[in-house]
Amino acid sequence: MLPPPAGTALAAPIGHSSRPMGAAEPVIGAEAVHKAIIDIQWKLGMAVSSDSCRSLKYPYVTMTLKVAEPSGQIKNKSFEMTIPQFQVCNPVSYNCYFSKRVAYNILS
Amino acid sequence: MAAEQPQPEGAKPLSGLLSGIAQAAYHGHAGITEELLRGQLYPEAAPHEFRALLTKMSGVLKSVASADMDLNQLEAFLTAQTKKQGGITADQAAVIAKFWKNHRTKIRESLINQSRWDNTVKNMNWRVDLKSQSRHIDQINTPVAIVEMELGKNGQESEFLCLEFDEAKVTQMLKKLSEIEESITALTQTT
Repeated sequence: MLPPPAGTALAAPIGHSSRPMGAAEPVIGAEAVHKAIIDIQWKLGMAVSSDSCRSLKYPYVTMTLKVAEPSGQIKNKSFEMTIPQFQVCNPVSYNCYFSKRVAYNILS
Repeated sequence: MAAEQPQPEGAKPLSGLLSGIAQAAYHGHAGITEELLRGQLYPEAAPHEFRALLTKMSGVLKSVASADMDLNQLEAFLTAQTKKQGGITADQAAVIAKFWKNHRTKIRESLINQSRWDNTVKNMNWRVDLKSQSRHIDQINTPVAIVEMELGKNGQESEFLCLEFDEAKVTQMLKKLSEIEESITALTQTT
């Protein structure tokens, strides 16, 4: 099951689609089925050693997002990225931000 | 040795053996049995002889990979192995050295992946929506960033995390990302 294509601007509120575990339950009449972000935290770590490799030595970024479920429940979602992965996500976020500015300009 | 000499007799099977060991240990290739390797690479060898060779070569490769040896460390290590009782021959050392030079990056990548047990970001998509319905009149026509992240762990089904960011939250996220960038730069400058 694939997420919707990236970059489609100015869409109507998101409709229901069936998803694997962890997806938000759609609520009829609610304004969104996507979860709001409450807080963002990050950590930069260094993996030093493991049982299969005594000399790992790689840095990685861990982020934890505090999200509000539609039910009102607060959950923490955390994930890890290698530095190359982080460097891909970084410009993606900037593009997203600039799209929003464009959207604001279209409205005014 | 000025130029690289052509590989001696027996280099090809050993190279193949090292590949087989790496496939099984690092690249998750199931079904590479001792029997398979012996049949393909050393059909003339007696089973107990082959087992001894396999054990020895596995041990050497695992030591090299575990320490992520650079060329200096590799040379010192392999030389020591040739001097040991029951160690390796100079020819074998040459084959191992060549194999490691060619496969180090891939093996290291596999080792890193094997040690990542928490959620990693498999995919990330985004779009910008306009809220056209809202309980709150002042939210109509405000742009909202919708981000969908695919999070997954090794060997498990992915979880799709569907998030919504208003402008303030996008700004906050960008600030955090640039803090991370600064930290990464500081780290890479000191190491």
